[in-house]
Amino acid sequence: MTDAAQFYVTTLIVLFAVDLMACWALNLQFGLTGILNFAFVVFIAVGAYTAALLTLGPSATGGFQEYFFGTHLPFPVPFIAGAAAGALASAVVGVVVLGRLRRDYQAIVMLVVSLIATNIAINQQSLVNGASGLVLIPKPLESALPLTSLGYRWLYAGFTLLLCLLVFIVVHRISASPLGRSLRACRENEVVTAATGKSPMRLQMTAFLVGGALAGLSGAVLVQFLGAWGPNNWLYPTTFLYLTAVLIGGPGNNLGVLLGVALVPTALHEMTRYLPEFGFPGSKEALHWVLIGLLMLVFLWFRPQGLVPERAKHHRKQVDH
Amino acid sequence: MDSILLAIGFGLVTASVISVAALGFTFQFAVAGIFNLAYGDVMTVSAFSAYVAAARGVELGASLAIGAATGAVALLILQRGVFAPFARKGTGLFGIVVVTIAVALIVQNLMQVATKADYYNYPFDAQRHYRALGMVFTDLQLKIIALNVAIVLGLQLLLKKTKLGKAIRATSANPELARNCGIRTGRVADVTSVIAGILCGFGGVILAINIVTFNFTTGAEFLVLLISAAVLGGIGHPVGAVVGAVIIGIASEMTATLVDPSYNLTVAFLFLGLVLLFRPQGIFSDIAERKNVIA
Repeated sequence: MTDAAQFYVTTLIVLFAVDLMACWALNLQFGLTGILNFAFVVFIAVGAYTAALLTLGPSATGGFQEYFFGTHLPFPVPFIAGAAAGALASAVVGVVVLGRLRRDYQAIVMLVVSLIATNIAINQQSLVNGASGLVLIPKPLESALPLTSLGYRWLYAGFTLLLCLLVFIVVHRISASPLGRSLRACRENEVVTAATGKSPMRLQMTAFLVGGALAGLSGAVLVQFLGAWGPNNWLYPTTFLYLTAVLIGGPGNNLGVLLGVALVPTALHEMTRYLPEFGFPGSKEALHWVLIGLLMLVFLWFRPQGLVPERAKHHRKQVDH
Repeated sequence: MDSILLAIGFGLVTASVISVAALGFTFQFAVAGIFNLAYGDVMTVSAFSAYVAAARGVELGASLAIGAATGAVALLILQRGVFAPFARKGTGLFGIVVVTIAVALIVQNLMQVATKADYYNYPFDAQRHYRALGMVFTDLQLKIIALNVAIVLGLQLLLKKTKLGKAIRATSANPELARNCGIRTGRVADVTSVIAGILCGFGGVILAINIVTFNFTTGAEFLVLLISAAVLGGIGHPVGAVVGAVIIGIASEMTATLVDPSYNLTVAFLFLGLVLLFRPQGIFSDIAERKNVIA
């Protein structure tokens, strides 16, 4: 494989894995628990910014980018910190939004939260360097390992896939456990769930926190690969892209989400790269979003359960002899 | 003191722009029960159609009417062609929100292709300035404020004094019961979309006029402000939308003048955040509570 092809393939693998982790987190919040989290991309951003700030080192006054806190921390810490930051942000947002509002109202509120976050990040220059974003974020262990640039990329791709596997184990265990059943109950009927003694607010918060942590982790992994991160990486349509992947794949079903991620952010998004430019610059991009919107509508109309629907749980009846 | 009064003046203009649009949004929610997130993009479409007319020399009043008509037609088509079928199918509340977002994405990106992402300047003649009570207004801005007042009063008259208004209020309160009483709720839904569309169209044109330079994202960016105003005032309540608009308009202009211009939106959102934390049903909460917005 040529160098360029290897570069492309490793990028594709990492992006796919990161999208997958993010979508599994979103599936936990939306597919299992029914929280329509339109601010989802903010939690990815929180994880990414945290990891970036913890590896960039202190902001030098007069340097070309300014941010509010920086230090050099070794390898696994920024990832863990990214996940923790995602969970913390989810806790803050969750306290305000969860459990008190009608589902669609909640969604609007989350959307506004997402826009507030983007607004603050762009306007408050000293926070995370405003609209220009952070650059030159170092990759973990890059200088410590004796690898070529391409070799490092393959290693990182493998590492990301490994993390993916771990995330899958986490979401699968949750989904198959009594907690998963309670989350589904909460999604279907909050009143009945409360009547059985489980607090819907607690359950939603749990899903929200775990989902937020996983989202933060995916952001941290992505930012250390890309080396740069700015408000353009986390605009609110990205949440919608992930939501489309989950809805098309099969909300509530982790393998369905895998299919959805393979189809939407990866195949559809990447495919537009190969189409010839037409119209004015950017019309390819715009039409791809039109296609995504149409896909959403088509799937919501014809197959709202997604391509791989959630498997109904059957309980064997006890037969007394 | 002078700058505060000036800021209040600017705030009133901003408030008028927000309130017309917020009225339409909140009205559509009150009757149809849906949060139409494609509203901002329909505003942009109306602004463009009025712009096309104005660029050919059509005068202000007629261009406004053209914009309003475009908004009405667009929302009616969306209601009958997209939202109503999904609702009939039994799509849940947040399914409908996702549908409106999908529509918004489609409309916005089609506009991007059609307008080649250019910025356009709304043409209008040079303005006279008036000073009153320490505030400065142009001719056009006074007209916008007057139009706003007329619309609010007109809508209240429609709702309280006409038979149609009674039908609309009944459908908003309890669609099933209204149908059983012989009210043609399908017709009411259509009329609601037309009214909301007219308000949306007016809002879009006024926004384009006020902001002078606009492009295909203008309406969508504005959507957040108008949702904040509607939610702050109590979602579904017409007077609430106006009050919310005034609060957010004045607060954001005061912040821009006294603190830092780039924070004007942040303050608006902060208000929204505080409201949601302590009183999610908003200031005038009867319709919000009736629609069970608080779980």
